[in-house]
Amino acid sequence: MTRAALIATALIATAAAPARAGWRPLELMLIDAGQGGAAGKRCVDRVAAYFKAQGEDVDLVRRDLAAVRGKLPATLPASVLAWTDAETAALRTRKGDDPLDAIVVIDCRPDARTLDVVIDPTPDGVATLRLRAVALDAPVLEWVARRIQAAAYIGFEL
Amino acid sequence: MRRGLIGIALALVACKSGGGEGRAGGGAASGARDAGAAIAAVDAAGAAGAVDAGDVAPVTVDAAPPTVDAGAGRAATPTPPGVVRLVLVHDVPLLRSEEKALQRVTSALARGKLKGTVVDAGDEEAALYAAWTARLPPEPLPPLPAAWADAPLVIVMRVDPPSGVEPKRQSSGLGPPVVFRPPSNDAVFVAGGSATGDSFDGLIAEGGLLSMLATFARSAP
Repeated sequence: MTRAALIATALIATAAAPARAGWRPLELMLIDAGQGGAAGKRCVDRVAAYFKAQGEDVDLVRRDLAAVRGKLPATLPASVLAWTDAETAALRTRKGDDPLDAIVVIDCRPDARTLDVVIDPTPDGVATLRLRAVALDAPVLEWVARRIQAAAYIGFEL
Repeated sequence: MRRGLIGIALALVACKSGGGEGRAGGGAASGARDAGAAIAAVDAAGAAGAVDAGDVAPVTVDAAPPTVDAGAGRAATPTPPGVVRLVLVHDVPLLRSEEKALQRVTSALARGKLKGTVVDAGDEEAALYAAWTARLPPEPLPPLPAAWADAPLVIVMRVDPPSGVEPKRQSSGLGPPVVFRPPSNDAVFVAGGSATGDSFDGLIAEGGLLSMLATFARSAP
């Protein structure tokens, strides 16, 4: 009787826990290129909020460009769209851990209605998103965040 | 008599455009072209007295979808004013599954607030797409094709060649999109580099590219 109760308890506990076999979060670093002033920061905040809303599916590390500048090449292209894996490679590696899945750099300038994003998901090449003459409101930024997430998943392995 | 000739002409068009898994000529626009050409051929035959005037089939040139892309020279023809232009760049015929999916996209464009039409890319449009989806935006920005002048929005994307071999070919989906709001020759939205595109159904899904048409079409405040 006791054994049956133990087995039943174990089964209930197992059933209650979500099946997460073969699962891990998407680990990405989001960097604000910091060219858009306060409005630009709010813009990047909105994109970050989308990722935070994904819960445990996305493990987000947020950095300002200044905070990681020391790891980057001395000379950076003027536009983030010209960044390559050479610029972001050093940011992907982590001591004693697997590399991050993707580095995302955002240059958001709502006042100028421009948004440039570079997504480096693998060493094989970067993806870019470029918006011009579009009001960067919440729905647009959420849509952009979805596309960033899709691009960040390229090469994702469990 | 005339109905029979129309049937033969349409059958010939079907043979020309329906061989194998994919349809030669590809795309909805070329289908419209072919159907229009078939009907025009029958009308020409009728004008030459080769058909029985008393047996006129209820088929007119008006019944065919509007022809918006000249196929032979791959030169784009103008979009009807106010109609969004969805341009597909592809060198190989679309798979049947892609044709069906494209029909769903076409229907969605017909239902939307902003009406749209799907066309095959002309040479100039294909070249413009290649320039914009290179690693960096082109400099200087190339001019837009004259055919786009009256379109509130133009979306250009590549249909990636299918993977696999006959008879098990699979769609590879669409390449990254480029969106223009004429008359500006600066793209409103570009996904470049290794960015991937959507599937046909992804275009019309919630949060898909077509959900942004109204946003992209209106000028920002």
